[in-house]
Amino acid sequence: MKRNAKLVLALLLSVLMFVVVACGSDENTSGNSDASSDSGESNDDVRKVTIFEDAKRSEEEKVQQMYEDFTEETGIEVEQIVVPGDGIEIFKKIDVQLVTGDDTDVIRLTNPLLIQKYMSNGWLAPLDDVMAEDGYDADSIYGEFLRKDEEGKTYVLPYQAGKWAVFYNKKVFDDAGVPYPSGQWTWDEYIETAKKLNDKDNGIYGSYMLDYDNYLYMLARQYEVEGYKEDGTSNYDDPKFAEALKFFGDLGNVHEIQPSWLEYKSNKLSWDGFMSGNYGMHFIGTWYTSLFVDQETYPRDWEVGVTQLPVPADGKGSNNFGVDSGYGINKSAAHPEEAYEFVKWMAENQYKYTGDLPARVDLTEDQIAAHFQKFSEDVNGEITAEEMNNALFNNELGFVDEKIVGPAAAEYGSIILQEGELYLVGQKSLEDTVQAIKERADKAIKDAETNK
Amino acid sequence: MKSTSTAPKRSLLDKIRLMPYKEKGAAIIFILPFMIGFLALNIFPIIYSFVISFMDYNTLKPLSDASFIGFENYLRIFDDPIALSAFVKSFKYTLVYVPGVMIFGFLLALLLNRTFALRGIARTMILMPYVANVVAVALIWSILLNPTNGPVNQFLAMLGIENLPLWLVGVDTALPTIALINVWQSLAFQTIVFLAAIQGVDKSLYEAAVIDGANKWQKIFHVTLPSISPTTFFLLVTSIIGSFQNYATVRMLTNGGPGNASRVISLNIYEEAFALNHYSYASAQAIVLFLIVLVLTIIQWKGQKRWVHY
Repeated sequence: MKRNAKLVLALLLSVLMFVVVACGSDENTSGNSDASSDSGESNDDVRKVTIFEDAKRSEEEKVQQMYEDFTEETGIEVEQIVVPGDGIEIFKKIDVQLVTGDDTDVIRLTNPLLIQKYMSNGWLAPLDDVMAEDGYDADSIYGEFLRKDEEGKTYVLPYQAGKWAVFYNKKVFDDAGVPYPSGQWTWDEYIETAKKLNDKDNGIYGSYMLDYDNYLYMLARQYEVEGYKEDGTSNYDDPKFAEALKFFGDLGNVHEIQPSWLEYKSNKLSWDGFMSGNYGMHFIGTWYTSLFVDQETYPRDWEVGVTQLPVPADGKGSNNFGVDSGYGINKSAAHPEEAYEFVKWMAENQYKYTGDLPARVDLTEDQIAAHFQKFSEDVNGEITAEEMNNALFNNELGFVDEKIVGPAAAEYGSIILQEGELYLVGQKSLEDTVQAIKERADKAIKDAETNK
Repeated sequence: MKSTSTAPKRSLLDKIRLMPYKEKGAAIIFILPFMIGFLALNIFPIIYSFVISFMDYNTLKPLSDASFIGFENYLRIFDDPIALSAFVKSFKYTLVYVPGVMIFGFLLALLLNRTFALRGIARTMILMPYVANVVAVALIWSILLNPTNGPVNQFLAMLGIENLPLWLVGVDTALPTIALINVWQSLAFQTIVFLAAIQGVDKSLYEAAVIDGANKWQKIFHVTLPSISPTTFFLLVTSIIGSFQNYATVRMLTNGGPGNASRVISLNIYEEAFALNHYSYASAQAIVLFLIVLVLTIIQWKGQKRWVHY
């Protein structure tokens, strides 16, 4: 009898182990929660909201401070569902979580492609009714940055509308005896300035750019050339895209003002490479400014400056570009009311903590100036509020989307990178590259329409 | 006439209670934990993947919104040059990796079977790449094979070689380079298994061969290789399966680039499923890959009768 009992016990333990390991609870599979949720309070009276967060951000002090202030103001506790990985990678896991019925309340969507994907596939809860009930006039607060779907419904409240600028290393400029750039300038002037900063013997490049898809067509976007034709097919055969790809390739391969694509890839250079101090200028979005503030992670012995982005010399492409990000509520959210409070609060206030450019059109000039002033203080006055304002707002530049947004946008971007890379490392002609991108993008767009 | 013997009917609970006392019952209980895991974590995902490969689950929508579309995803593969070339690249990768790992593994095992100074240390050292983290391996090889300032190309330049290879960033060189790095990393497993097999060969066979006048090479080809053929067969089958499943090293070394030059099918399946949310299409590719591996394994299984001696 004893033997029998032992065997049954072993069997039960095995099954139990399997159930625990394979299934797990939401908390176990989703990761850690922040301190506020570990307080031991588990009664139903505690209002809380859950949000997907990447590992790095979940540990950032300013983010924790932001959540603490939100809790203090609203009484709603924030529980972070930490998703392994950083940046865009976490969305691969969030996709799977959503498909399997995850009820995490809020998703922070960091670019328009993600907003479009989650919105068009029905994973987000519409906000129109709840905003109407609340008397919340999102249009007047967020204006052009409030994205709506084809039916005019709102699913996301934007927390930032970043722009691009040129950030520069003052030490590199000083060492080369080159005056700091300011005001309107052209790409030709950018290239000439970078050449003067080049000091290859000491490992210094005048310029630094990353391997994001939009670098490969940034010039076309400045000219406001769309990624799609009116009939919905790819517009990559527009000569401006070829010009843009050649322009970007030449920066490294011909002018040698920055690591060529080959060097970038073979040396495995990183997105935060500019912080190494080995580059004179970095053309990047304003989201990058948080790195200049964070001297603990990025200690540096050089000061940073900022100026507006260069434009084509013909005067026809005088545009800045940028990207908006926002918060959406999971349609299966466990706490939809709290999630709405959270999304609203974050969209209005996040820029005060993270240094992002707000997506609010209702802010006065004084409020914008105060925001830049705070940033200036955070970087010990290396960049003044006026310099930030001039680089981003107080200039003659227009504004366009930095990304190609539309059907099969993720595939489109991926195709541009795959094919463009072959041109950039000299293993495919410009003509063949553009043709390949056009053909593959057309096919991806067609497939996307079929799969709708 | 009806039988009057009435065997006592046992309830299901009694049957379960008595199971451990019967040989079959005890066996079932012992393998049950594994079977539960195997069914839930292997068989169920395979069936699930098979089912959704016939659906239009190619966007990030709920599975309940997807419908069956027959063989459309399978037919789409033949109209997708990237997927087709990914299958071809996996074959090419296998053609470099499997002979490399088998031949070098066997030769290394022969060397390690000899008596020489510091043999124990040498045998341990051979294991180092096998236990090394794939990320670390990728990083080290990326540095070594850096075409602009890597030590390998610097050495080749010193020898006066022009047109230095681009290694991991060259369209023609990326895939074979990855395959050779993988040969280097996984060689230890093949070597150790070959070594164990070689040490198990009956010594009297070698003595008989020597009496018959066999030289060193004849002993290898006519005694060693036939004697270890079951081991060779096992390693061949597992190496081919493993080579088609290769993902991590490609991901870390080139991520399929430059362009799609090293985009093997495992990477393509992952990207289709998790970067582009083409779950059904990725599943169809995975099922085709499964069938290819299955067919190759069956061919080897049938072919073993000709050269494997048990």
